[in-house]
Amino acid sequence: MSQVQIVRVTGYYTDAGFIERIIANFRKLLIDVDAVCGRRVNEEGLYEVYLVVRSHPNFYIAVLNLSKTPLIEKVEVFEYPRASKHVDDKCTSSEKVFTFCIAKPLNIKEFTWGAIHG
Amino acid sequence: MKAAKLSVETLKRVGINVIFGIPGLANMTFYDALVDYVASGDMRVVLMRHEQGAAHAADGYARASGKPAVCTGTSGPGALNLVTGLATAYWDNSPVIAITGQVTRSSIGKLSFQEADIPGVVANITKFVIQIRKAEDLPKWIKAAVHIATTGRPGPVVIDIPRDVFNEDVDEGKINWLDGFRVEGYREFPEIIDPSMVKRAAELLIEAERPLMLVGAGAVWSPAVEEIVFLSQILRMPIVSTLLGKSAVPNDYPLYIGMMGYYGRAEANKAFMDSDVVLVVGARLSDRTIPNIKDVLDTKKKLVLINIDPTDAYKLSSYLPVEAYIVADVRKGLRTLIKAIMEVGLKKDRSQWLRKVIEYKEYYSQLYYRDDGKGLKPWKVLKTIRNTLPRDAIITTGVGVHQMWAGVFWESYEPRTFISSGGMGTMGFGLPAAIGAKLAKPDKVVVDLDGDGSFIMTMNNLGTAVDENIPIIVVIFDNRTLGLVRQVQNLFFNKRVIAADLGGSTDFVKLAEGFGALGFDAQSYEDLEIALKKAMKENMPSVIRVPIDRDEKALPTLPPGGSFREMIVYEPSSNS
Repeated sequence: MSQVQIVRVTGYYTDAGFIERIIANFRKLLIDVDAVCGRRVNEEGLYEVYLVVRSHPNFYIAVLNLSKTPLIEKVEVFEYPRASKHVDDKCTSSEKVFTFCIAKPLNIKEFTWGAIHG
Repeated sequence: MKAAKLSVETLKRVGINVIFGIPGLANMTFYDALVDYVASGDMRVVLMRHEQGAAHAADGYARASGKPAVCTGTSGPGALNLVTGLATAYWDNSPVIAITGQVTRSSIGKLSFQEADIPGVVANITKFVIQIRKAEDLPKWIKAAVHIATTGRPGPVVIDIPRDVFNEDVDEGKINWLDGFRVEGYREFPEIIDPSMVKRAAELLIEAERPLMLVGAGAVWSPAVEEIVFLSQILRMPIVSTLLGKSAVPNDYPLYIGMMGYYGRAEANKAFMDSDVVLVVGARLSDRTIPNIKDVLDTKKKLVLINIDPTDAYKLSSYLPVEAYIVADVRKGLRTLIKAIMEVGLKKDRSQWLRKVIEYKEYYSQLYYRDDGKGLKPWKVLKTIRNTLPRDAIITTGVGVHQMWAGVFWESYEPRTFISSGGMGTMGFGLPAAIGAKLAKPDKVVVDLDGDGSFIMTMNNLGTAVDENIPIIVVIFDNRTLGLVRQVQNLFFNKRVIAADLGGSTDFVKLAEGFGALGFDAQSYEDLEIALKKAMKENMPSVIRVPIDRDEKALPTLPPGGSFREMIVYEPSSNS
């Protein structure tokens, strides 16, 4: 499996173009997306979207661009001690297609409108 | 209240009073609501001849005024025609707001007549797009559009409104005008003024042997003329600019060297190469300004950034030697830096560095300002225009070889007086942008410096200028070729010129007259001066055709992807 990065994007949904915009940020910088999983978090339209994206030299630029996209509240990059595979194939679920489990990160770096934490 | 009227009323309340566009079925109700506002003088509606022109006109208005500007088109082809103009505004950070009509909600997604998925089409060439689903949301999103378009890094916003939404009735008692509202998920950039970074920046500039300031479009938007000049004076620091940053500083300021970059002045590029510390003010260092980053890395220079967008600082820091940055509006960033420098108070003798820069200027001037007496020379044409126009005249340009001549030879003296399509390089920008600029600044002389190839792309909007009494002047550098294409084919494609030459059949004077404008054929510099004076006196749209030899090149230039070390400054074999 290719080396990947795990990203959590939190933002306000207006229509399904919200998802397209997130994906496009990676597509525009030639970064492939292996998996996407998202859900509504609250009644105010806040969504969180997890992405597994291939490691790429443009990754940091994509995260910075995404972090200043209107409706996006924050982008978090999960950091791991080793750059091995982070998607847990052993995750047991009857609907495995729609569920993936990720290992607990060592650290989470948060990007939000030019501010970086973590 | 009908939603269409609610839209117009909200636009009025946020300060919009001009709309450039073309009506059609899907935005017809919007136009219908405008009738009363036009009658009362609250709005001006400008009927452009193509929606691309509407977007460029709004862009020209925004860049000349610093305020948001609105364009509109109907669904499908109307909205799609806006696309090039919106991308142009996005690349150059211009706050254009497009209101696009859309088919009815029940027809969306069904290949309906004049349907196009505008949110899908523009999502990646605008700062933001929203498709309205409920009429009562209109005030919120129109206000949000203005807020998003004008704050942080400015940019275009599209509001796509289905026809049936425009037709809805909204209970006036329930309208929320949203004073003091907040757009969820949108923030202005934080200021990052780290005292240790500021101190580091001040020390670097004070200690530098050969400091240089590079000003970009952010310095025009701010603007910060006094701060730029003051800092340059106290540090004895020469200034270069990007194409869009030309008007950030008076171009006759003695330490302004000129535009640097791919087609930049040789002395500006040489100064950049020789510098040891560069203060980058409101520029994102695009591949047009620094075509080859080895020119930065190999010369071991250090960069100090002032930029409103922190992500620019982070991105540039990831591959360039950025030693310090201040994230703030240019004026505030410069004031902070000036204060820190004044506290240290050290003035280094940089007479040797300044002498070198002046020597570069003098040396390259001999190569630029040549005249063999055969035909009109672009630099001399621009000098004639400059000497004839008032100091505060606004220039727009098309895109092509004439634009590069303007970048090198035109002198701007005030912010927002040099308006050009930089990032997108959109041919056809000049004329409609001039129409917008003239409406924004009716008291100023507005001249579109255009090429024949570029002018032809949007010349239909000359009819708008005439019918709406918008007295702009177009000067066409008529070389009967797509000059930059021809030049690249000549220099880098082994002289295999193809699909570049336009032929001699188009008569620009008759064309101008056909639209009802004044037409002039300037065969000499004197003719040009007389034509300009007459156009200004008559105060009506005018086209002045200036013949230029098709082999006149935009020099200096670089090979594609080349370094400043490979600058081609002149053609030894050329007569010019």
